[in-house]
Amino acid sequence: MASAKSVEEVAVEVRAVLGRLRLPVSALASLKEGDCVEIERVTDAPVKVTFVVNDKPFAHATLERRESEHVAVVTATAHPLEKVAVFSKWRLNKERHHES
Amino acid sequence: MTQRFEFWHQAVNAEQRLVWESLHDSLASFWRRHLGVGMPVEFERLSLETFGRLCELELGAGYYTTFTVGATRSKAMLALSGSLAREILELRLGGATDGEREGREGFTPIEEALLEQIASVAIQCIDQVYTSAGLGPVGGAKRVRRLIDAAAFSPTDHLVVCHFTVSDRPGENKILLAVQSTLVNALRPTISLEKQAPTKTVHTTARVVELPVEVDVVLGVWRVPLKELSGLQPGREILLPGPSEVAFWVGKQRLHGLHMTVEERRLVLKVERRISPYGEC
Repeated sequence: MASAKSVEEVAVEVRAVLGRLRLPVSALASLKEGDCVEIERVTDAPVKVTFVVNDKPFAHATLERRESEHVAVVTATAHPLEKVAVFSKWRLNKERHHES
Repeated sequence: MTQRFEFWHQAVNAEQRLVWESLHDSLASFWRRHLGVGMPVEFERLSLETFGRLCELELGAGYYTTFTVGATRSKAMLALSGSLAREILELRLGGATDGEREGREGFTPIEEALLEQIASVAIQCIDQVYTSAGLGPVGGAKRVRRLIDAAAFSPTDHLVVCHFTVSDRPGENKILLAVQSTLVNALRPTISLEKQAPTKTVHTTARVVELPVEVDVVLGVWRVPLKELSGLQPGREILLPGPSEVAFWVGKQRLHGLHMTVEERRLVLKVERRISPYGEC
């Protein structure tokens, strides 16, 4: 039987997720270099990050910019039943070259 | 030119017409999602008109864009009626437009830019729907000041016109999508391949591409020992990987590398590279 200590050494994959989008298959397939997905955010509210382990939110953080780097400052651990936040207001801005 | 008219009547049977209508019903639902609130778009009907006849329709000082469809570069045109163009501008600018106040028919440069943006989104939707149905892609979009100035067409050209109504003023707020009648026949090979259930096949394809997929915006991925994870407390700071690690993930698959910009009112995720399952493209 594995000891508690050896279990503690087991590494799991952690993802820092900004949020989730529901994109139509066609929009996802059509994304090309230069295209932008613009997500509406509440002015002045900090950008939130969720740390996810095995598709379950584990902790919440706020995104802060320190010089050229992004830092996530942990604010709370997540409720076991929570889901990753879905961005409801977004729009696809395709890079398009019109012929004159 | 009359021959095209005959061609349309001979070639377009009831099933093909149904497929064409379904396609444009899908397009209406795309527009509903992309053109924003206050603009419920409904597909109304199909008609066959000569370009000359189309020019006589009461569209007011509208916004017109011509473009081409598919490898055959069939000519097409998108027309927003004058009333709709004004309503869009009122919605976007939050009041009566300069043109309305001054009783002018044309648009100011700002109004032109806004309408160009709307027309561009509408054409992107056409591109997606037509491409998924095997008709696209769409290209060569060009703004035309007056309908009659659309040099792409001659007055006797026969066009299949898809009529869409917008909001609660269907008589005035119109979107017309006119394509060369020969383009309808481009759907024919798709139909002949599936003789058992032609309508369902093309219709299903158009529906499948509308299915939503959950896409995570991931800033970074690490492997962390459980010991460290259990020690994560509020206030801890975690340095995120560089901007090159930001990506769209679908399930376990990393799909697109992104550049993220945090702006006051929005987050902008710009696609920098597509990533294939076998490595970066």
